[in-house]
Amino acid sequence: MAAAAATAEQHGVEVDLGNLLACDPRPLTLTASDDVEALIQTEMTELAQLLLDKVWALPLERIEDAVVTTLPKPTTFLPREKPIPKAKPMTKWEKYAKEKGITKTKQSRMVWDQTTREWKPRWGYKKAATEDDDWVTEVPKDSDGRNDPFTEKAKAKKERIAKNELQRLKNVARAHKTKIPTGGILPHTEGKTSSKSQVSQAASFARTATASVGKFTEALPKEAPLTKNQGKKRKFESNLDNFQAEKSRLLGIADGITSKKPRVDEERALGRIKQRSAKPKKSDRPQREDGRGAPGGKRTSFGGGKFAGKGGKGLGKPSKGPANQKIRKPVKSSYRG
Amino acid sequence: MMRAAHSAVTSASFNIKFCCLCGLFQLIMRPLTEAETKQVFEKLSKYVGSNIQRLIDRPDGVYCFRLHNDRVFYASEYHVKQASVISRENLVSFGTCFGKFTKSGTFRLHITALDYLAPYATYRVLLKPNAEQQFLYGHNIAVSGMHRITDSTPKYAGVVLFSMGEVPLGFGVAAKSSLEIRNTDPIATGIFHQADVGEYIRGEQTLI
Repeated sequence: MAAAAATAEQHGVEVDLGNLLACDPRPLTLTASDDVEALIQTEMTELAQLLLDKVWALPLERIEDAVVTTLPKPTTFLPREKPIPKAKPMTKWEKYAKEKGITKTKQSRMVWDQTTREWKPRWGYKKAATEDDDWVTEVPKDSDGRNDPFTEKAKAKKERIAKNELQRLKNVARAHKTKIPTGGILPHTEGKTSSKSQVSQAASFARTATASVGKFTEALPKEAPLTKNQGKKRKFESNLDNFQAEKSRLLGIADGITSKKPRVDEERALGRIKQRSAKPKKSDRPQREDGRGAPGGKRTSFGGGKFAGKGGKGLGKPSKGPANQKIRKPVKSSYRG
Repeated sequence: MMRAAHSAVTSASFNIKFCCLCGLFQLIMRPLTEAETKQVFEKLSKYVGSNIQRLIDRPDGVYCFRLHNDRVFYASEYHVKQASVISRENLVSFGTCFGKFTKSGTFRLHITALDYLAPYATYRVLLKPNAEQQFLYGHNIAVSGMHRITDSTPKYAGVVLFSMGEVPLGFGVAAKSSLEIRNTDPIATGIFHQADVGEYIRGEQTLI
């Protein structure tokens, strides 16, 4: 086998140990009588042997019953699996710096701390003292002495942080090609100026947006007094005042509801039409004594004051309407109990 | 018989559990808003038609509707004034409860309104004695159980049910029109049950 491997190498077989790859660029010469499978198998065996021979020729080590070796760097470059990532969109500063040819200089991680006289990290744990850590500070000459310089310094730092955050968000918005949010509480209207009412509403919101809900907000000269931005309050009628007005109101509503109903009883009208069309001739009609034979026969009157005067608790006189209406026996005599 | 309990202002301090369940806002006694009034009147007009006016415009005094604890009370001016003195947490009932607004906002008529609506009922049904008992147990009425029905009762009209002796028994809805009833099967449903006086016993704890 070793002899075969040696001849293979002579014929220009390339071995890339870094990728554990052996490659024979020679074309296969086949005749019609050759067994293709067997031929490929012998070729492959030869190549594998050659590759393993080269691996075993590398300096070997024994670590806990395992023989290991370090492979050399691969010589064959394989195509990458994923596409090349797109370049990050430049921030506004990066764009500006590129235009002006400003290059970033790497800051050292450690800085010299004058007070402790030693090297300390620029930021993070046990960082070197900055002016934030000063326990004493000068009062500026033009200061009126009312404001605490420490508080002002803290405030200024907070503002710097807020500004930086805003700039970061703007960069993100620009990278995503979305609208850059504007400051303020007014809705962002593109290409339109805010209406007067919107601006005044925003102003009144701003005035009340304090911890004391605008109680100590100083009014600007000529500024209108603060109006309350309250929603509509639900109001109900008085419980005890003006029963007469309420009565007329209720009567109006009742009238509106009852007058809405159709005057024509559709079903009854339809029934009448049906009856009329199905009415047999007089000669064909069965004559019965009680008159209950045909559907359109004599009705049994039920009213006649039977319900009249039954209004309990002295509730007016229900003499009109319902009491005088006819009440009909609903079912045929065959199943009446 | 049960009427006495509903005509007077009733207050109770034992009803704390009930009151805690509902928000304080609903407990305010107040007149109905226009939308609420319409809802109530539409339901009443199903049973009494235009006779609602007789409930509002009465010769014996001023009567009005008040909302308290989601319930609609029908009371005289006198009773409203009396009830307004009682703190709302303790006020359970005054006048007569006509019904309640459900949580979904629909108005539901209660049986307690029967005494006021029965005399003005547009459509009436007389029940046979055996059907009467069925109805008072909360069941629908078959066509065979109906003794008489008002002429020209349309389908799905609100009806007031009476016993043969003309004692009002409750509210129902006509499952069939009076014309249809004559030609239908006797075991078919004639009246859908809505409310009956049996609730005075069955729903004693919840009825106000």
